[in-house]
Amino acid sequence: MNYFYLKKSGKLLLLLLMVYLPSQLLAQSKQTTTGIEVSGTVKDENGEALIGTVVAIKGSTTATTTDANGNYKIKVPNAKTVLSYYMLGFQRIEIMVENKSKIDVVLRELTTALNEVVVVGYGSTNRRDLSGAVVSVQAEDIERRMPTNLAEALQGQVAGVQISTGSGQPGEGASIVIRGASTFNDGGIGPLYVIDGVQQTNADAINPNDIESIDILKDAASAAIYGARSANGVIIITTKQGNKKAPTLDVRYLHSMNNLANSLPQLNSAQYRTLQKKQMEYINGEGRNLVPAAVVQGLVAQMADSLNFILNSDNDYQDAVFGTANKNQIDVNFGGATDNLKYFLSTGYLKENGIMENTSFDRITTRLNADYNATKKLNFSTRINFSYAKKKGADESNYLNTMLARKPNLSFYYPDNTLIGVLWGGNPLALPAETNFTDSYGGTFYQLGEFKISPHLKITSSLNANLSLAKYKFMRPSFLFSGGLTNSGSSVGTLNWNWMNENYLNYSRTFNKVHTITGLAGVSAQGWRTESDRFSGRNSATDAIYTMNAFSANFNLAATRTEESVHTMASAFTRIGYNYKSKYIFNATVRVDGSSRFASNKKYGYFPSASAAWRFSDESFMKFAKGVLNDAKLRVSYGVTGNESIGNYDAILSYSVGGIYDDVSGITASRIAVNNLGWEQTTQSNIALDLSFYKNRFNVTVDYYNKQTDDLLANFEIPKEWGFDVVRRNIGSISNKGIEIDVRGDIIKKKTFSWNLGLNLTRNNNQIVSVANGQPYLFQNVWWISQGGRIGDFFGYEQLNIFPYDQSNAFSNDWQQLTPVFQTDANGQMIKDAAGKYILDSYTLNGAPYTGSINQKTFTDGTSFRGGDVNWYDNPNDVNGRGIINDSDRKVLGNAQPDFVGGINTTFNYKRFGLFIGSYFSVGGQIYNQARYTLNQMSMPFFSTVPSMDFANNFWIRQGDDTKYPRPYADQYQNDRNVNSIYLEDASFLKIRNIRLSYSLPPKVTTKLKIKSLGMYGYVNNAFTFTNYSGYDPEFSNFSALALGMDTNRYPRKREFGLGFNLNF
Amino acid sequence: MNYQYKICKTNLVVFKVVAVVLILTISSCNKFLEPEPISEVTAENMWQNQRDVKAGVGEIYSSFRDALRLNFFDWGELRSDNYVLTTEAASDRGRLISNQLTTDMGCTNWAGLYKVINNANFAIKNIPNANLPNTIEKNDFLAQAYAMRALCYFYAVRVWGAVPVYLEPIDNLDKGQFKERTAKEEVLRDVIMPDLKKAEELIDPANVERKRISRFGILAIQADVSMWMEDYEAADRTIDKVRSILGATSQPFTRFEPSMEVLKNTFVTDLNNKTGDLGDRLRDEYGAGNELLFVIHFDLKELNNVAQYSIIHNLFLSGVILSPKLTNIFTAAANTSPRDNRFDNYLQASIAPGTFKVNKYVRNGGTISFNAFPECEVAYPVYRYTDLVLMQAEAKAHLDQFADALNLVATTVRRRAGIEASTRTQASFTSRDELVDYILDERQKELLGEGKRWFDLVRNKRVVKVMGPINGISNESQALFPISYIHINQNPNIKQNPGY
Repeated sequence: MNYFYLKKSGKLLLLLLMVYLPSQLLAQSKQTTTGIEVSGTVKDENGEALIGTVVAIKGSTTATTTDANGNYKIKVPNAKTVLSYYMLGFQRIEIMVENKSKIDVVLRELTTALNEVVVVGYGSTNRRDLSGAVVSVQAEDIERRMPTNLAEALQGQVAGVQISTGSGQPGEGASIVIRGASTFNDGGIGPLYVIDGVQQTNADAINPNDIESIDILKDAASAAIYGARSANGVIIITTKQGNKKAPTLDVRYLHSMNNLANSLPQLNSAQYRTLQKKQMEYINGEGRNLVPAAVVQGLVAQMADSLNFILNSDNDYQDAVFGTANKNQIDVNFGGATDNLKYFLSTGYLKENGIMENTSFDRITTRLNADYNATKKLNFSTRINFSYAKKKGADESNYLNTMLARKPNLSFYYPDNTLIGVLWGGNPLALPAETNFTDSYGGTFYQLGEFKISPHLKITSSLNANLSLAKYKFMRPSFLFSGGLTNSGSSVGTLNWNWMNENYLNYSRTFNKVHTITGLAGVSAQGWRTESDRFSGRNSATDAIYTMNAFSANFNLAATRTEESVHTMASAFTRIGYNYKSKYIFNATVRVDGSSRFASNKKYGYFPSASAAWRFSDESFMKFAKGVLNDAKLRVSYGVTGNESIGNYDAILSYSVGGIYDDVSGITASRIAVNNLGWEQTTQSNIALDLSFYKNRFNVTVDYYNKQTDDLLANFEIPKEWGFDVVRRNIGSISNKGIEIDVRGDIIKKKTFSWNLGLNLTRNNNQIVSVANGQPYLFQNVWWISQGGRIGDFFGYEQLNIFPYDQSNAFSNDWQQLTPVFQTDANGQMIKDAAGKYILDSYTLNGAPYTGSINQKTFTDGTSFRGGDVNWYDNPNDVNGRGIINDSDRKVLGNAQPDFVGGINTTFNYKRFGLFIGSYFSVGGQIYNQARYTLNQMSMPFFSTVPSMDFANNFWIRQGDDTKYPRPYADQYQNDRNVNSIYLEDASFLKIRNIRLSYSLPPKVTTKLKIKSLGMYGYVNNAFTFTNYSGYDPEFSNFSALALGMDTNRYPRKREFGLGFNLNF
Repeated sequence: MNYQYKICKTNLVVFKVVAVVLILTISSCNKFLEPEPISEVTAENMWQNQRDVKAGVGEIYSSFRDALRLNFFDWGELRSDNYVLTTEAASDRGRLISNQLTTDMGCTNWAGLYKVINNANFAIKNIPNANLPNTIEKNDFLAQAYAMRALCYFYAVRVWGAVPVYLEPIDNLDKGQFKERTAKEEVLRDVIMPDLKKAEELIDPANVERKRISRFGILAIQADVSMWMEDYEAADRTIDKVRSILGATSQPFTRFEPSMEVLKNTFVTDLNNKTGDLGDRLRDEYGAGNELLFVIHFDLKELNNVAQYSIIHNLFLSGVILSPKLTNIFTAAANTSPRDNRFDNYLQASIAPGTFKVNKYVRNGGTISFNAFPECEVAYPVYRYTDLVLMQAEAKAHLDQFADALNLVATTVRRRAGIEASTRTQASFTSRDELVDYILDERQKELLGEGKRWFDLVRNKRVVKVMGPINGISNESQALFPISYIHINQNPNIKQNPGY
């Protein structure tokens, strides 16, 4: 029955428009004050009354809004008057009054409509006429996730966009990767953000509640108009505008309580004492003469000192450190419009405390958007926003490692009740005494002027400027230094200033009602300047002052400095489009970018693209399917995009200030000049199918892309004999091929109950096609970068098992491990020799007796591995001989990249209740659990810190033990090698990210309360995580393009329980 | 039709405008797109005048300090029979002591040394063209660059044997060559010695620096290099040259310090808290008559953080203690009459009974708080006069001048230690090796904590003999350190040392 409404109103609309168009001029010319009264009801497709819909007389300032029941009444001058119905998030409808006195209207929601406006860069188009791969996310999709930042708003919503929020630390950034990592270059891995026309490299400062829509340009054809910086996709963010004639005031508030989502098993004091006893058993047995006397004495003393006050606590560190934290978020928006002015003003305040003490994030954002028509031909738009944020942080991995490694029996306090600062490592209760915060100030100004030269041609000129200032303060008081004899502090201010001027012409014209031609041509210039001021000192007069005045007598000269650096770009761009009846669509763009960063002969990069779409559902041969398949479009595109995210002067030899030696400040060559350092280029082709079934009730989009990045800009490790560490080079190629599927639809769509389900799935296959000189290299000693390999290949030693007996280190000639059989006495008990070792009888191979020769694996100096040592994988092609375990036995152990990522989002609506569940998942890929490695490795040479729980329960003590971990003490046999395959874990997970139950008050109530609407909701964020990963969280972001999937213990995530309301006046 | 024409006309105008704008923009772009660096010096503006040269040479020392901060001890001393760990095993240091070297240890990485070499190469290439009115000063700077390059290559060959040789700065990627290693003998003969000779020619005799290279620094390195080339006559001659130059001056720059009390004071006060002299090579802040020839200067204020600071106190006060072997030697010497006063001046009892730590750089009876030590300035003594004296004695032993060698030791080092009388007689030695060993023992006690002992063992091929009983090292080829796998990975022409 909904369709009936639609059909009816749709046909009516068409009819009306056809009649109306020729008579438009007449209608505008004469207006009388006498008139007809028109009334009616405005409803949505579900038959729900739409409150607050603006009903305006076209061409005049007269307007009204619908009441709580969706009813309106308006006086119109004559029968030729056109009424315009407008509601945010719905398609605008215009109807001529004629002789009707009652006009009921059904407004279609924009999100399901094909004529949703899609922003494509220097312009916009209808989704219907789109030929590239662009995904849009609307305000409503964002709001129901209760996000505090952009990443949370997008996570799991969009196919092909992999989002990892950094950690649980409030205010922490996130990584957003579109269609796989296509660079070796840290700076360039993220997409380009265009926020209301302003190009930015991050969107941390934006308040997600200000966002009207997000358009993600995934393929090269869409992104290439932004050329230079678009290789990793473009995210265009449009903020809200005032629209309704009557001023509106929206208030949103939410409050949540957060606690630790997942804790790690940690030894308690009793378990720790058991561990000490086991260590002692090892020391007195197999470890005799291997553990230095000093270490043994330390352990003996601690175990014997049973009455020591300091060593008789039983701490649950995670319980002590993590608590419940509150989050408050309030947003107030005010907006409206007159004939010539649209205005929108928003202010938001977020205060989020971390679940770890002394960590928090406070943010204030304010935004003013105004659009003004100076004359009929000249429009101006102004966007101004300011933000302030304060992030109080913790040195997370250090903090967590300290906490997890601390002896559980070690007291927090000295006997006199003063807090222990540092004793056998830091005290997690004392560490928050450190001053560690960043104040960030941001401001953006954007002014746009648009002049209509003719009805089809307009010229646009814009200027924007963006200022951000981050001030980092750090002070570690003396009581956190052992002995308390010094302190240290630093202050770093970073100022970023950039400006951009863009001027372009837009042309659009339809000929003979079927041929639409669009054109765009423009130029732009941009400049960036970065200034940093650093101060650092130690041993100041007082711990009470963290600012640098206290340190002025004690500055660390080498770390106290100011620096400036600049960067410029100049560009020209053009686009031509042709559209025949929305059936055949063609677009082509070219952009030329010049960047100051490249060698003088390589400054300019050329970025062409072309795309085409064919709406085959409009072809006559598809008529048979019309009832089911109402819209079907095939899109193909090809384009080239670029990346220039490198240092400002990477191509040239210049000299920078080096170290200070005996009062003389040295100057040293900063880098090697690189002739021909040029653009990184990504060539991407895309083929896709958009299908809509049953009047857009179900939508399916499938994209296949093939992306190849050439001339990768990388910090290439050069032989250290050259005197430099790395050089920035164009070094190779990576390819990313993938498929993205997005399915969404209304499974149930009834008047009182609806169920909407959306599913997106992405598979990306990454391959390193070539590296410089074909020479593979090891990145940060963990990742192997090789031709034919993938980014994120972990490289290291494979642990096959632990030798249970000394005699287990025995292999056949083809290096199969033999099983020792020991001599037994009459009772079947294995017998020991004088040295306490079991006496070998014989070997078996796969159950059969073995009589061949015996080979052993050895350390580099030729000594054989013993029982309790790791049986490492031995490379059969090792030139240094079989059996010797050394560097050349390392190999690729696994990869960090997932096989599939995706999201499942579902909404249930029953009457005025709504339930939203948002989830996302990642399947495949591995994590290197460096945190667990560090914990175990730290305990191995000292016995003074605590290893992981599974180590404590499963290490080798005596002959015959079949364990996961080796001998507990690290001796010369290097059982604690890094990277070790046993610390690789499956990274797959499914997260139920949001569960939100909402209720909106019925109009009867709201009318009584004299408000427009009131919605209330309760939610749980980060509700459940299903994973086998043993660390805090399988999801964390990577700071580097190449360093993927290594968990060094990030601030653990919170589970958030919240309540909130949205109030509209 | 008319309508269509109008559109075209408009378009034409528009496109003309756009074209003009584009052309103007792009032609003005080239300037716009080449902003000058602000906080860096462009290549054309460097190496122009005295300030540039001073800063460029300053960086050689600063990078040398970075390269030697840990390696001064790791390379020179920790693999020897001098120490065991104080308490808990720190992996890298423990492995050095127990000879379990692996290719991932910091001391196997030569990046730091080659950074210094590259800085020196830049200086050597550019100083001749710089505009310095004072030729003496200009040559002095050039001499320092040559000498420091020689010293770095000298460290490199002592640690790894053959090493790749780069004598031109690599200022452009196109100049980068993947060089193979050059044999140690060749590097000593064709690179290090010629550099030192050139440095000796160019150096200003009035240069009286200790934190930088002076004429005596150059001669000390020369003598040491000759010892490694087994050219004992040259070493002997070079040290005699030092004596004769010093003898000709009334205020000697350096000399053998006969008083233990004064010497101890040199270690405590001259190596500590010697503030800067603004790089004035003509001002000797150490004063005449000092033993020091060349030191590496540390000043916490000048360094980025504590992690780049001198480890001299950290190492000896809380890192390592005297090995049982050396403890016995010292204790025996202390308990014999006459008593060896180095026992009281160089050592102090450690926590565990019967163990000792090196207390050379701390006032007798005094302590330096574990946390206070980063507050002062401390230098590493790279060469001091006594080193030369003992080197000469060793050279004379190799030259079979037993009497001279013994006399030299007896009248200098042993006299100062108060044990001249107990010096062994020439008759008690039956072979040259025995005398060399005797002098090496003297060097071990005297130069304890100065980064020398391991090099002494390697130079005299005593590694297996001395260390075999301690950590089982069985092959003299293991006297070389392994080369970091990083270097082998990055330059396929570098081949690993045998045994690693």
